[in-house]
Amino acid sequence: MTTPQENAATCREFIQRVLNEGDISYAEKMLADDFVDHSPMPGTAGDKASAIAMFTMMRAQTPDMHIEVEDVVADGSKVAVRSTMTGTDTNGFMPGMPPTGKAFSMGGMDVLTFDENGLNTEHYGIYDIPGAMTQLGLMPPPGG
Amino acid sequence: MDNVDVVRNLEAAYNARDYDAVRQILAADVACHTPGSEMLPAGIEGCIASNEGAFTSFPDRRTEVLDAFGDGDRVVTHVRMTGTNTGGIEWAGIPANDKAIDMDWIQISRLQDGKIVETWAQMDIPKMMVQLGAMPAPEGM
Repeated sequence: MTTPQENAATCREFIQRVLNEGDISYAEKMLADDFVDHSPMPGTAGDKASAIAMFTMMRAQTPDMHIEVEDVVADGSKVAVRSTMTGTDTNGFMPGMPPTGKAFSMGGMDVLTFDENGLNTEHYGIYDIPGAMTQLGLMPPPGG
Repeated sequence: MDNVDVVRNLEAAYNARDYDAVRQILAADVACHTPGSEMLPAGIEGCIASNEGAFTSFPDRRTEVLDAFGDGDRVVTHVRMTGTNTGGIEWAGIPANDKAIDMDWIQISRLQDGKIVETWAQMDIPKMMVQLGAMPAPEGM
């Protein structure tokens, strides 16, 4: 049985290795085979394979992406992560969008659930996508 | 009362528009870091204005705490909000259109001496904008 502190450490290592460094093997290792993403990218299955494909896609769209962990709260089998992603919109904010070449900063909140072996079984996340798209000039500011 | 119960009570007080209770739970100078909160007055008055704004837009507004857990001085909540846009959403330039919303947010609250002193939240605004007909659904939905 992993402790909340161990699960929290896994979250930090996951963000550093998988998202910041592109080490997909750590995602293969730490996501449970029956992993479920309750906030999948539109049009994707939300399973382990589609989550890994999304990490690869994110790094391809924004090669200099960096996620800074601002806070981690862990209790029982749950961990919440508050973070800020920064990067340069090099290949399109999302696939199919025209690259703007501009820098953006996007806040995010994730809640993750771990099993008794310390594997990540569930994920739910909300990100300030409107804020980032406004910075890139891809969306008008609210009300404007 | 533990910190998780304090945050649950705040959601109940917002639902009941019981601002005496809200004032017991939030510190007067509570700092809110939700995107968009810069458009509101600072501190507790901004929180009350935000709740009243939600009731103006969605008079049948209700929230439900889907998940809550805590660690030390911080509490995490995942909250679902449902309602019907019969009042219009001024900040987004959306008129009343009777469309139903079902959206959510994740919040971290920091407590000190039993009161909430700081919050950070991310709300699923795109989901709400699609439901309101103000934004096209992303491809694949």
